[in-house]
Amino acid sequence: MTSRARTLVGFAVVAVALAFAPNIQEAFEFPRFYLIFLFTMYFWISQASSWNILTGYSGYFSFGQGAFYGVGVYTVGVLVVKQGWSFMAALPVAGLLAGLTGLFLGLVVFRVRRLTGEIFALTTLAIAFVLASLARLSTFIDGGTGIFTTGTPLPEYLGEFTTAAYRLTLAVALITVVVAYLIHDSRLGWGLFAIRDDEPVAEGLGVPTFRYKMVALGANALLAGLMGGVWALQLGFVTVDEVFNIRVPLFVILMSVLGGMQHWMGPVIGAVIITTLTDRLNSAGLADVNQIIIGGMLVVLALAVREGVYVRMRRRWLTTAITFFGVLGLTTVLDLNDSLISDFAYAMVATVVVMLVPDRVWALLRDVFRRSEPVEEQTEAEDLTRTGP
Amino acid sequence: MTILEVTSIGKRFGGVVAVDDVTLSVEQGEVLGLVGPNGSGKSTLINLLSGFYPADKGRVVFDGTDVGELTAHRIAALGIARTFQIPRPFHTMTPRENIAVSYMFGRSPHNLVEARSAAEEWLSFTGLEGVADVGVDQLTLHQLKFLELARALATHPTLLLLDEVLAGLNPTEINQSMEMIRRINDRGITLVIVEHVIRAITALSSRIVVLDQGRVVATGKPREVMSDPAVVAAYLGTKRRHAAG
Amino acid sequence: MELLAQGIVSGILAGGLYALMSIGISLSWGALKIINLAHFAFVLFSAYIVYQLTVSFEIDPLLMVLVVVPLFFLVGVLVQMFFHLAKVDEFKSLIVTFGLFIILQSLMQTIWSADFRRIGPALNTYETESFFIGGIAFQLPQLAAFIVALLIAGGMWLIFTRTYFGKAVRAVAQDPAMARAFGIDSRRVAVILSGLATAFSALAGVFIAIGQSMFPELAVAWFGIVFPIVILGGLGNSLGTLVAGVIIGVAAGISSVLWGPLSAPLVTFLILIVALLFRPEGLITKRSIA
Repeated sequence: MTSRARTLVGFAVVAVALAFAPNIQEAFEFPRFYLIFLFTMYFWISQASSWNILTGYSGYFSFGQGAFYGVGVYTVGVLVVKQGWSFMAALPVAGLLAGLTGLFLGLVVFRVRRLTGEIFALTTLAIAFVLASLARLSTFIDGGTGIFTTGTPLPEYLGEFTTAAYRLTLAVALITVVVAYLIHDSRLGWGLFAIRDDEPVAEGLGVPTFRYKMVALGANALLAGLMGGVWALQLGFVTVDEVFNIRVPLFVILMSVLGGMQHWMGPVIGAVIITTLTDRLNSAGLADVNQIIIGGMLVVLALAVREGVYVRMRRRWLTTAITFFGVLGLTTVLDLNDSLISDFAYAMVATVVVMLVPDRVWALLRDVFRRSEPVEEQTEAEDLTRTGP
Repeated sequence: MTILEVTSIGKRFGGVVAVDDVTLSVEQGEVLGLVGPNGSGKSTLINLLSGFYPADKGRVVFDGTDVGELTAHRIAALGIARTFQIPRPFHTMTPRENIAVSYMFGRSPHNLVEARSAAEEWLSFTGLEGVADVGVDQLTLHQLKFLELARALATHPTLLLLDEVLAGLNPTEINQSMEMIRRINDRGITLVIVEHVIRAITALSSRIVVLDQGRVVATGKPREVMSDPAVVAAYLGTKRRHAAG
Repeated sequence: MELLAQGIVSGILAGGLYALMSIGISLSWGALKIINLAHFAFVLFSAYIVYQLTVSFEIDPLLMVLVVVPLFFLVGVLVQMFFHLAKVDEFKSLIVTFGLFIILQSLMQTIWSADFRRIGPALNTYETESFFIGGIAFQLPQLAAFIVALLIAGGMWLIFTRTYFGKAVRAVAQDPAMARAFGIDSRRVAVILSGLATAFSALAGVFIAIGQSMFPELAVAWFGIVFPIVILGGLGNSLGTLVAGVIIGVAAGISSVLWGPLSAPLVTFLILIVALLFRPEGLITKRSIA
């Protein structure tokens, strides 16, 4: 079996295992909250991963995640609640409309010859507010009153509401990550990386840059909208302010920068870490300070960690394992926290802090403390962001 | 057989006329030298021929196809490749990956698996096997120039445009590069070489086209052209400028 | 009909204020190759500071210009020095300044809460004053902002074309290494330019404080208006930015009259889309700095 097939099987196994979490939760009477925590994580894993397909792989910075997500949310809101469609019929439409929004943007901006990247970034920044205005203006869409999505009937086979939400978000997150993975080490992926590194040169070597950028953008938008459609139910009451605010674009950028933008695992790791941390901060009542910390983290991370923590975790895998499981073990055994999630949070923070140690300092420390070393640390020259046949 | 036919091509940037009504043709298999003082339009011409900029006027016919309206990647698919004066490798990739990507998207599309093994051929042709898997920031200028060549060659071009590939090299490296260029031509690839190093261009080229201020000033065999008074005038002016620093 | 004429006039004046908000980003991007998203936060922060000082010390808000402009000039200088130290390039500048924006916005929310803030007519006599010409009102704050924008745009144009500093800036924008080779201290040029850009934004903030009420989300709402102006106006081209500002301002004004204020972002965005569609070879032409 090729390594690719192995990974896909791995995905399938993980997916099936996770899909049964609700049953486990019920059987063992774990708090419901864990399910909610998990599917919130799936939401962000999906959003960050789909964003990275465009921005990380192609280098075209997008602030538009909120816009695509918003299109998805409102499509379901309008079609299901206002127009009486069935949810499962509206969901693909949500993805489709969001995808078309993205493609429209691409058609307009990608044809511009100079400063395409910058103009693209700024246009995506503007479009969320434009769509918000549109939603507010049009009574067909929102009209300023918002849409109540609670009580929407779902197909029987999905189970009761929380279980259904859980499985839907899991499914979309899985699709997103698999797509990101498949693109990563494919002809499309390499073409995108070439575009990111030097677009004119890539074009000159035969990479169909316009087409590839559109594909990446379309995939990003479609997946963001799909997850938005699912999340519409979760929101309960959909309003323009709630949907089109700065939070979604901000968080996906943060998560991807933290985890690493050059590998499909980066956004996943970033999403897991940030979701855990914000959850703990919220329950500690620090929700307001939250955004200042987020902004600060973004600045620090963007400057300090070039390739994101995932690449470093792979390079310093032994240290990662020791730190993470060590702290986790300590906090669990010593019962320092009331929640298992808090234990994980501490373990993650400790690991991230260790990963933030710059490579040069790390090499210094390594030389000082190791005599005969197992060759666990690989040199920086090896580019571990590439997997391949 | 004429492989490239350029008729009255022109390009201006704002108020500056970079290329002004240039007509030339390139025969299959030959090495055409393109010379001229700085600012004569040589690099712009290369950019026009490879599709980097659209021309303002004129026609370019490559192998029977009018390439005027085509985007750069379609022109690459037809068989034109070019290198850059200052090498522009993909900096997040190793040399091997640079070549593999190029191979994947060349004249006939290939997949990843084929590309990685095919890169081997170009790595050894340019002598880069030793540095195939390091970061490109660790390569010398000479190696980077060879990487440019390898990458361009991996697209299987029939016409290769070299933009001052010898700039910045020492005499030994220049000789090695000239040898490399000869070997490329021996494989049947037509070459258009923009160069300032006169001894190299006269040694390599079967014909030379001289540009000055965006126009063709002379065409012909190297010896003839280089002793043409108009060419000497254009260059003597340059030489004086160079001498003054 | 009069309503439409009023809309146009208000639009032109508002365009001046928008242009003032946009000039900072335009200069920063055109000359320094840094897209500084934090400028929006600077404008609003300056407005809040003007509000706070006016209300706390009961001073004329216009005098606050003397406080915020030097203050934010300094901020601009420090920010540019920070960027230089941290080796921030164009791509990173988006992320880093976005982060800065978030920090500043949250700060404003924490200090001044999400409530609407207005200086109020007792201390702010300017807000309600207007000149009337032919039955059309020229509101004082907006008129003043427009005139200031005009002066600054004209001033910057003169600086860039006539003075040594201006030419130094253009040289640095085109080719920093070359500029240094000719003896231009590119760092000093960059730092001064950044300070100027931020100072202009602070100035815009003064007019915001005088002319309307503020709330933290306002900074975010400006994205949709300012960026079309920056893109249409040409990077670093202050006069172009003013013209673009007026066009956008008028468009927003007319659409507000016809379809309500919510339609304004839609219309301005549409203008941008149309412009990009019909001039894909680039709106940033020889009129920009580099």
